[in-house]
Amino acid sequence: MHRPPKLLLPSTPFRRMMLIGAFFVAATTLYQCLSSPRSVDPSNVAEVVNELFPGKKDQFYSLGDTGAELRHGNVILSIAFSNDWSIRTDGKQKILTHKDKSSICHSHVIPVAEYNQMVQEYETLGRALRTMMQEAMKLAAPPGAEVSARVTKLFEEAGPPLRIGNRVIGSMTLGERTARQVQISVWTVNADNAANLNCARVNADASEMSLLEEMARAYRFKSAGN
Amino acid sequence: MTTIFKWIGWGVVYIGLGLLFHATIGRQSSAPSLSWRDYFEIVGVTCLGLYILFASLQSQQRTSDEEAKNTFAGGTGQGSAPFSLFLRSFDITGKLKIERPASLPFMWDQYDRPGNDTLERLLADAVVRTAPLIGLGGHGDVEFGPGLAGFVEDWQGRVEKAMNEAAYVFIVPSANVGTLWEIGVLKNRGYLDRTIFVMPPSIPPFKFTGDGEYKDFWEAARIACANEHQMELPPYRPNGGLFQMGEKTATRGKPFVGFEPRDVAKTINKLIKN
Repeated sequence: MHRPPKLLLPSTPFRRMMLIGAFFVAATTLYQCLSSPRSVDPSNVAEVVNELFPGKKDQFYSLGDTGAELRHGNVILSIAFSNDWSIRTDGKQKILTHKDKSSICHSHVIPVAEYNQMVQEYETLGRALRTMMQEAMKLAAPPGAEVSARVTKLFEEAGPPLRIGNRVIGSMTLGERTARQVQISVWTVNADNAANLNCARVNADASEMSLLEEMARAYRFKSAGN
Repeated sequence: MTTIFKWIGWGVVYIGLGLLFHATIGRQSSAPSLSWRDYFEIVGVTCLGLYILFASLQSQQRTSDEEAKNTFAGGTGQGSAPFSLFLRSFDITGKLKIERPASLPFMWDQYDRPGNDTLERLLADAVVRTAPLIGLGGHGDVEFGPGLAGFVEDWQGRVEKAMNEAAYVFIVPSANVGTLWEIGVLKNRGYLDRTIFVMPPSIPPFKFTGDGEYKDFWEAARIACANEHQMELPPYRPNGGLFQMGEKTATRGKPFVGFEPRDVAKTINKLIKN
């Protein structure tokens, strides 16, 4: 005669489900950790800048101790700009200001659902940008001023991630006087997030616009985050 | 290997259900609409996971059946893996079903243990980590459950040997001649301390699909046990239970508190504690 052993308890469906879920979370996290650069050393930044702006390496440099990066929470974006710019954080936005104060860039990241909602509301991204420019200029316009906006596509990469660059020119005319505002707007959209760099300049000349366009072209996801 | 495939199957089902959730009630209103092809692919992923899971469970069942055959063929002895013996009348095989309530298509519970759920499977899953359940006979409508060795000659000799070596003996009493003989051996050989008598429940989610009501089946077993062995089985209770018998009456018992293997294993542990 012998007493039966105490039974080892089997798992429950809920525990199995949690275990599988935890496995997928851990695997995803590990994948993201391995696929995103752990640190950016200055030589890498120089290489990136050189690749993006051949022959202009000396004009560009990285800000802060994070290298050529803009960090929006877990989402990290590559960016490159000259040493004439300073950077600060305002809420969820990163604001880049040129030393002459005439150019300013805003970088922000929103969930992809919000981006889709915006595009659906205005039917196209171009129409959304044009409408927003017009509305912004109307707010600042004196009574009787005429406001118009024009959008020109600079580039579009189907991706993923999707990247669309546009030039938006807003004009405000009052009598014979005309003020012009030029914005370079780039959206880059992956499965989770949509990031926007919007650079604006009042009465920009061609070379300055070219610089802003180059900045827009270099703006891209470095790490998608969650 | 089958365990790994089982977990892979669960993992693929998990992905499929997650996609299904995000495509249906978990879908954000601003998300782009999905095409029929997307839905087809999502359902396809879930079905693939279920196929892998089902195939691994079938493979595991074949292995259990082989082990049961080896055990009954005399492959056990000192140092061999512990096992539990399942004894019942063959005419109730697969007829003590557990019918889980239907729920939303992406709820995990209904995919965790696919296939017919029965009392045999519940008991087998409850003891599988300690002493896997084996028995004689065929599967009937039961796809998964105890390792079954089929029908063999000299079954009494083999069962008696297995009774001596089993860590646990589970028996569903009945008025069947063979089952009464088994109860007699358990009593006369002093195996009752590791024998658990099973009173199958008949309230939802349990359902007896045999002829008549199960309480009549039990009553016949009570009368037969009293006449043959002077053992008084407890009166039938619709919520069933597990109990141990002394020489004449039940010494202790516990009702079924759930229909998950873990609940049953806990009940067995409480039953044998004292």
